[in-house]
Amino acid sequence: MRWRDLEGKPLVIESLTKRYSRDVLAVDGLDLAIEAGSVFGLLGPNGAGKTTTMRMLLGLIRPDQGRISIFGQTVSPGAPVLEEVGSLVETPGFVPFLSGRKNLELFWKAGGSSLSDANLEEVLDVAALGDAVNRKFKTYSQGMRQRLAIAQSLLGNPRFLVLDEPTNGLDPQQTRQVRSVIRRVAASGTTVLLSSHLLSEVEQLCDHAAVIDQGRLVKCGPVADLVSSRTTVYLEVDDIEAACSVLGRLSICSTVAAQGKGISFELNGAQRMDVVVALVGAGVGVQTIMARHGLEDAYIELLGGSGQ
Amino acid sequence: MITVEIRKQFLRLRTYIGLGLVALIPIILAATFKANPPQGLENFVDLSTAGAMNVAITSLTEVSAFLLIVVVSLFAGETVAGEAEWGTLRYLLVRPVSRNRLLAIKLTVSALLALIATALISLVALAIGVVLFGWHSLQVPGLVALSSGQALERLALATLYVAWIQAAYISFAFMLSTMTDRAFAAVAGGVGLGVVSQILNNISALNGTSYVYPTHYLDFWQHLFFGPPETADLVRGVLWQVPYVAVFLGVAWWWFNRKDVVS
Repeated sequence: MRWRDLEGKPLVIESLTKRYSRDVLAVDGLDLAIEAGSVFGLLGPNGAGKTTTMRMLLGLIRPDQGRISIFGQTVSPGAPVLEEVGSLVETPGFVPFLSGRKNLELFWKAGGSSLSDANLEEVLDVAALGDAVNRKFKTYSQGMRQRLAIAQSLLGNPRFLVLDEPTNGLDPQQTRQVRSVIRRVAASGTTVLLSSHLLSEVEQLCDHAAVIDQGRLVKCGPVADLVSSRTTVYLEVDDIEAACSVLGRLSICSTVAAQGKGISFELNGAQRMDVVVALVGAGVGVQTIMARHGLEDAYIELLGGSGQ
Repeated sequence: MITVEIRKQFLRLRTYIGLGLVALIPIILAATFKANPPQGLENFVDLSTAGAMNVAITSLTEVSAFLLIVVVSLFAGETVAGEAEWGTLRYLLVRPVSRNRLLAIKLTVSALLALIATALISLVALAIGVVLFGWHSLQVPGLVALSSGQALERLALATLYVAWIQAAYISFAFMLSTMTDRAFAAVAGGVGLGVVSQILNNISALNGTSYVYPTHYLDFWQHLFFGPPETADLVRGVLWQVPYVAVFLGVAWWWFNRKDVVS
């Protein structure tokens, strides 16, 4: 990819590296590109480098190496292009003794723009704070704080929205509300980059995703491809050896391997039931059978899980 | 953005507490003198009941010795670190507000608040002095009397001078404010520098070197009233802040522009 070919993309990251100390390599040669209009998920366990990456692309942290461009403009601290970006970085940050409304007003004006340019009433509707919008921020519950932070990120209708763990610390109902806000924003054409340590969140919200761990890219692509490219099946049977030889003869199975107390293999387009019928027909007792799709697989692998 | 910052400061209780404290001391001083007039004639404190100007000069001397250091350090130390503590700093920076601009605005408003605090001492002292003792131009035994206009002019000059002498520890508290996410630490640092400077300056054994401390020249404005006016000393006092300010602010800018904002 030549740099000039990437102009206009909401985000392009090239060999981004950040080392905090000699032993801590937070982000290690990360490459990413996000297409306009997509909802892109950055999936990884806590400490994978998601927040560091997001802070670098917002100009809060200086990368040691690599480059970041937003809409074709190189990002440096306070770069003008950040005007096009709305963000939620880790936790909401508001002045505790001011009301939610006042906070948003002062935040917007601090950038030198007039209040009439902002969609203040619209984003306050998104926050759905009711009368509390005029109460001091320090009286807000965590859900209200998070909704206000998302409302703040939407001020001025940014073309690119960066949300770091947007549903962190929310209860299930609040999580659902926040996700529906994100879906609405994405439907209006805004490009969204969100990070999460929850696979389900990325699956539900994103069309593209990258799995990162220890600062490195593990997997990247459309969520649909990641999920359906292959189906890995995990089996527990009473006779592993016999089962392996049965599966080895079946054309619908590939890369059969013993894994711990069971067997894992890939299923090419057939039903799990076909495999069970074949095994039982050959006199092998099947105890457990479960399918994992690609993204989950990659995610569990990098989390060091054994398929449980 | 500067009007936003000023509004933010004046929506804060702590601004009013700080300014209220420096305004309160002249009132307490004047009320005490009224109730229990000093008897001696040894120094100008003893003459505080003579009129509003005398109250103003006494107040400026007493408040600038310690309380003013605390209040201006509070404004300057809290300014950037306070935003970091609330978590609003990162959002301001990605708004985006450039780091240089953010520092310039924060410093300007801190300095403005310090100036207001200092001016408040003189203004409140004059007002309470007029109420309790009436307006008499400064009365100092054995010295040329100043006309009312001259006296007020010199008080204004003295007030500006006292405000400027705060510059070293305002800059120091401000520098710390860009480095830490704990506002209290930055405030304490500014107070610490002011107090240590005052203490070292007052140790007579260190007399030969005491001119190096930033507060050494703090009370030299009194020469404006208890002549002969030593202009050279005043100028030296003003200039002596410059190296402190240059170093502290230089470090503040250098540091903040390179800082990884992780708060």
